[in-house]
Amino acid sequence: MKRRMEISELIFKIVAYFFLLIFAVLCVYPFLYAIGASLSSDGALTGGNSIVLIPMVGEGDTLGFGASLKAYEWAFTNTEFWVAYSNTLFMTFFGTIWSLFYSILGAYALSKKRIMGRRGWNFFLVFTMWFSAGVIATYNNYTSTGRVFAAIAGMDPDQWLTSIDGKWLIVIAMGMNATNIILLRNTFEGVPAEIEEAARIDGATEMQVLTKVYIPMSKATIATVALFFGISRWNGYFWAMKVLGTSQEYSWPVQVYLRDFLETYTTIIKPTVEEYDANDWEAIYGSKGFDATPCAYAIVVCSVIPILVIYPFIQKYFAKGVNMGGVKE
Amino acid sequence: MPEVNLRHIDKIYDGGVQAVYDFDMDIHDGEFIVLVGPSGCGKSTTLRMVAGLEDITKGQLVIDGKDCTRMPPKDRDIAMVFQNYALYGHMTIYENMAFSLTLRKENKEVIHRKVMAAAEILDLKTQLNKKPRQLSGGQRQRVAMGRAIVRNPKLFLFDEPLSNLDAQLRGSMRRELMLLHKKLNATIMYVTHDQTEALTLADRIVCMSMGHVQQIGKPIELYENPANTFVATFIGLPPMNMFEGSISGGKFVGEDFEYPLTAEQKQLLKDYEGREVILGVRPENVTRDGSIPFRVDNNENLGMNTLVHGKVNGKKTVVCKFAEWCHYKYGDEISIGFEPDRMHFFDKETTKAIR
Repeated sequence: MKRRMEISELIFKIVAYFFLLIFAVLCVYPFLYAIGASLSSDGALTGGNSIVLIPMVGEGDTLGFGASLKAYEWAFTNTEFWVAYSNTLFMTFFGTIWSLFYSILGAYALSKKRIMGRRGWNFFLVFTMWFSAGVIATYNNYTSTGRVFAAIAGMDPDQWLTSIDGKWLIVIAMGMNATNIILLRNTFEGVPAEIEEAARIDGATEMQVLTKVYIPMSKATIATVALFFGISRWNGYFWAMKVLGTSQEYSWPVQVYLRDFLETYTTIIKPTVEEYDANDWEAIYGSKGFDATPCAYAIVVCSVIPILVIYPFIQKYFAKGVNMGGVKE
Repeated sequence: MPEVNLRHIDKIYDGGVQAVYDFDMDIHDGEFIVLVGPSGCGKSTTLRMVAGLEDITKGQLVIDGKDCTRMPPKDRDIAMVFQNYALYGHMTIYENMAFSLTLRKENKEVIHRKVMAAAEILDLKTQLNKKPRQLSGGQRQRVAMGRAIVRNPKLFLFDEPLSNLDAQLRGSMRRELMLLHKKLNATIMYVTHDQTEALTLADRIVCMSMGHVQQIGKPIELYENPANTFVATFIGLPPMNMFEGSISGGKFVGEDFEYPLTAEQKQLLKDYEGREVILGVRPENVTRDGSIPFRVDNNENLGMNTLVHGKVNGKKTVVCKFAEWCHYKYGDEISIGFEPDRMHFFDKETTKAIR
């Protein structure tokens, strides 16, 4: 028999669903806005339209229902965009691998009771979560790493920005994340000690215990941490912008490029035709120029797509129970 | 020639706690040794020292003539089965069993042959492509044994392998283990706190308490001639009835009753005249033709025998095991006695058996 809901329960549910709905709209709206804006036709966004849910009809309607792919055309034929995009792919791919590589090694070591000074090491790690050194110190740290790289490569450390590829600096210097290491450490600690002992008796070396037992058994957490690393690399722009600055534009990730684009070609949200009448676009997009806002959103959409595509593939590893049944709980 | 020698082994943990004191024994080729004792008695620690999972603080471990005291586990040529199975959850049963051989880079054909042979022995052939989580507890423990068997080690170590199984499965697995031991003619060290396992499986039992070896011997020796009061009460279910008292004028004088001694017992206890001793009698050695007043508390009819719980002179609780179905009620008064050649005497001071 179905239980009758009490009034208080009903009110609670209505309120909860109401806030959930608002939260969902807040989450989804930026996506809709970006997609709608990127497909809006030339000039459609300049008339003060601030709420965009569907593509805005303007003059250059190429799709026939008010939408235009012109912004994407622009993006796909823009070399700078592709360079930035490939830089982001590079930093994300190698950054994730590098971060995972030593996070796993570090987390494995920290998860072992037999490591000397275990509490001290763990404290050092957690300390960085409580107290950050601040922007200046971190900046100095990154640029000093650049100097070290240059010195290792046999070049003048003071000229590191011109002599070494900043992409590698971003990959290596920013690879550490205490939270992710702790996540991995806790997962490794959760693998029963007997499993490691069984592997040792079976003849596994320390490295084999890690690679053949711990890593496969912790796949779910490793996939999660990989996603965290990947997303932070993909979206990260602050340090790339600060450390690489204008002297290494060829190493910019797409986010830094986008920011630069927004600063150069628009007044943040509402671009005016006059702003880019003066630049090269005129030759390509006509004397009136081309609305930069759809272009900016086309870049945004392009930069979000890989994450959206990869997410479902990673998500299957989130499923619990990879390690179920190995030991009696 | 002895296969495994444990020579005066001590284990002291970093915090200063001593878990094992002077463990000294030789294990012969093909012998099934069971270490038994209550929790915290040092039996698992001893096994783990043999496995190389714990350092040996003092003493020496020799396996097949080789000093293994400081050797890493993988070089000791041993295999271990854990209480919680310790299977690799991400691998199939086949991969679990083949893991040690794969690490040794053994030829694939050889691996296949050995895994199939072990699967045949353990009746796991149809389960090889499954993951551990798809198997029952008993099957998982068989996989753990299979993993040990494929290695063909010099010594098998079992750390309470049946403790996680239900009673029925435990019984059948116990019988399988006996058969396995016969088939493989393996040398086995087996840790349990279950005396049934110890009595049924062992060629020799090592009974431990508080880190000390209390007695090493064949199951029947421990049962019939316990070395001290600990072994006497630990081995046997229900435990041996113990009565404190003294020897006086050819009689055992307890707190609640007096009992005449036979000529043989008098001879045995001639040095104990006037001294305190402990008399031990197993429940099945209590008879109903004596002179000790006994009041029944309750009956436990088990089919082939009956456990009768009650009190002697209204104080001391005693358990009797009679070989037939009994119908006593609470408060029934009977007289009990002891089978004279089955009475055990222990020195009260040292708790050791008087022999």
